[in-house]
Amino acid sequence: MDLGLKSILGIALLSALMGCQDAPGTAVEFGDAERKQLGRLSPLGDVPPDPTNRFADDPNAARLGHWLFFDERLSLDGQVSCATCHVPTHAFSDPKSLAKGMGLGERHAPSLINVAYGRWFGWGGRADSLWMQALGPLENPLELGGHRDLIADLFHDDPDLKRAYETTFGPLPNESDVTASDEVFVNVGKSIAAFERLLVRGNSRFDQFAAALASNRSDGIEALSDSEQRGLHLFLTRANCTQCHLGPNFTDSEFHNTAAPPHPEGRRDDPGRFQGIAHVQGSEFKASGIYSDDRNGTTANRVQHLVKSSDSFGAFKTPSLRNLAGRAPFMHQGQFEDLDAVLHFYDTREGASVTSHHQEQILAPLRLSPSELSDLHAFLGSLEGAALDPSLLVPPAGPSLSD
Amino acid sequence: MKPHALILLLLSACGGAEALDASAVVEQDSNAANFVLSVRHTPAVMPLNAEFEVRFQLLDMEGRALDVEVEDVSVDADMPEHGHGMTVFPSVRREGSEYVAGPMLFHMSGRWEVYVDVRRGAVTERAQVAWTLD
Repeated sequence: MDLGLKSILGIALLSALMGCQDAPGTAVEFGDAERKQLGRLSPLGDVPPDPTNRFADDPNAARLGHWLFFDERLSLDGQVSCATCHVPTHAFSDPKSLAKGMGLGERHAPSLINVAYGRWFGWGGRADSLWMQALGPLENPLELGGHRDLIADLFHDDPDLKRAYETTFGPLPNESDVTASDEVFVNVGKSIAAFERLLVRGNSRFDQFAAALASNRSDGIEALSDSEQRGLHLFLTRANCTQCHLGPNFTDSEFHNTAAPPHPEGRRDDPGRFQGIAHVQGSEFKASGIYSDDRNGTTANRVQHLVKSSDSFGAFKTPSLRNLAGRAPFMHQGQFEDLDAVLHFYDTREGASVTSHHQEQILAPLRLSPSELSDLHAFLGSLEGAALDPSLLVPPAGPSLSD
Repeated sequence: MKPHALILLLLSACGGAEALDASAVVEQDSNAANFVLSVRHTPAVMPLNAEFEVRFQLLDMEGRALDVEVEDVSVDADMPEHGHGMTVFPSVRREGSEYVAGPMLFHMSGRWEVYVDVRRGAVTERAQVAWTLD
């Protein structure tokens, strides 16, 4: 073998070995399979576009939506707003298990952080767009209990609201127009959705670790403690969490029946996704409907191809695991008061509620040790993203950017 | 072993690549061996939790295109170990000699079986292929 060939071989050997080795400083070995999964989980990336809402990224719409999110006048009694249950200082979730607006709701108000990354919206996926989802609570008698006619009246009666509306959407429809209320109502939803698209928290310590590992850099590995790294490894392997909590927002945005026991005050027979499919397919506000700005797009097509089957009865959307801190209780009825209770349920399956419908067959007790549960808990704590702009947590000065 | 062969071996030692040739074709006899399902991997790598389409041909046992109307062809997929299928049902359309089914959505990792049912007269016959997403 000549010298040149030996050099080439040496370089190849070195490259191959460097490519295979773990980044320095990891507490546990992350092999190819785990690294591949990490690549799917991080980074969070940009908020996906919503072609069904052409105002989705309009700053004027977002400002109006920000105002409306806190505006209690949208409710029947003038005392309930979106922020009543989606409490900004509680990760835009609810400290209570079951939401309480005009009445006691049947489900827990989920966090709105990173909500815009979803494919379906609501625990049962009753909406195929964020703006469609925002419309539901406004007229639900247990939530804001309002009515689109009253909401349209509010815009006609409040000059500041009227000005903000017209800045974004053009002239406020004449009240004599039979479709006026619907048009205003839809634009309220699109405005609130534009605001909710700003509620993004990514770039967590986990993301810094994943980026370092992906590039075999030692700089960034220290973002996760040894315990958190062990917890991450468990998350990716034996705990099997990525069966459902996959993708950059740690959710498949699909629906599963995990047999979580109902809250004492909650429904035992909540249809979940079964009802959600019927709702979204029957709604005038779906992506293929007349109010959508993309009636023939991917989302519209997806709704037409949903499987209607009893398998979806009692299935609920996989929640994101990013930014769990300060948003307890958990699950669709808020039946678990803290993260330890959630982990205990998946570890033991104690209290699993057996129904006659399909449940995830792959869920079996994990039987982790106390230290492993502690590691898993620690890892989940590393998914806290950068803090939101504090101005998003309080009502703005007015409904227009010029206010 | 020749040095260049060793170099190639070393460079592939880390694995990680799951590339399937986009032109790769999987052929599977139907369950009653009356036709052949010929599936082309499209896209080359099956995406996890993202919609895709699958392209296939239906051939008789001599390799000639089967004369089946698109309305008589249906596609579905299932995860036997999980006891459930996809959350969407695909439509089937015809493009020349190929049938195209979509949207397909494999929303979980694991073994998926894809079923292609062909109805001819009173008889529906199935051919199936399996993919595992890790």
